[in-house]
Amino acid sequence: MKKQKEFKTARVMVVCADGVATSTMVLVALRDAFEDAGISAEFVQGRVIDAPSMAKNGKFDFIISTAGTDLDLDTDIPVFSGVPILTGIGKEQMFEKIMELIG
Amino acid sequence: MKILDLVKKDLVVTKLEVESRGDLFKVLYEKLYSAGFVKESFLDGIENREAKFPTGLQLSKYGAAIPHTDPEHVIEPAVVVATLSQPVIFKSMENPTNDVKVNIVFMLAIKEPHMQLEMLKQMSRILQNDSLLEQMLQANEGDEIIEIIKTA
Repeated sequence: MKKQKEFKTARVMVVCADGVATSTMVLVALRDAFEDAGISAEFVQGRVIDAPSMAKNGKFDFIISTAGTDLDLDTDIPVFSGVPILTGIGKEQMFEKIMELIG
Repeated sequence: MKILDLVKKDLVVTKLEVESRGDLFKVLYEKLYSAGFVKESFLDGIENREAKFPTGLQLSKYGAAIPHTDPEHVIEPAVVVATLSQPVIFKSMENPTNDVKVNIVFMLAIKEPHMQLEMLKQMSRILQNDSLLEQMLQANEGDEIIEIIKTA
């Protein structure tokens, strides 16, 4: 019998320059993709300048940014560019990487 | 709120001819400002934000840009759609050292993103659909653009 996979909720930080527009587009797309894959996830949305302090205070599995991926973090949380989610180019590969990461 | 609640016919510009990104921003800002959607500070907000965090997106066939800025410069949400007769160079959101030749622009005046969720989703669908983009780029009138957006 297969061992039941441990239930886990992914914690995701989504940031953009202003914490409003593109981070919302990314968040919505990712939330839909996670729902389809049956993955439960918690999202925190914010501004890219707040990413380092947010990363310190929350336990995130990964960060997605549409305002550059060099976020000056003190931690080694993986950071993905959110642009593939906006353009559709490289989106599947990115989802695969994310699924590997949290799987 | 859907994209067509925010894109009004007089907020669509087809085959716009501009020399530079700065001129493009002025023309599109003027549309929003004269219709009362944004404050005077919106234009500077757009310029500053674009310089720090560019919004050019290289799509598979075309280039798009989605200039926008802080909600504090916005009075009422709206979206301006512009197709350009000649591409204008933007920096890439993905990698700001790269240029993107932009053919289509969505200038977003966003206030409360969760109210504009459906609009943002529809815009993603448009950006990821080459044939819709192609139809939009060929359109001569704002009405045609609106009809194309309806199918997204």
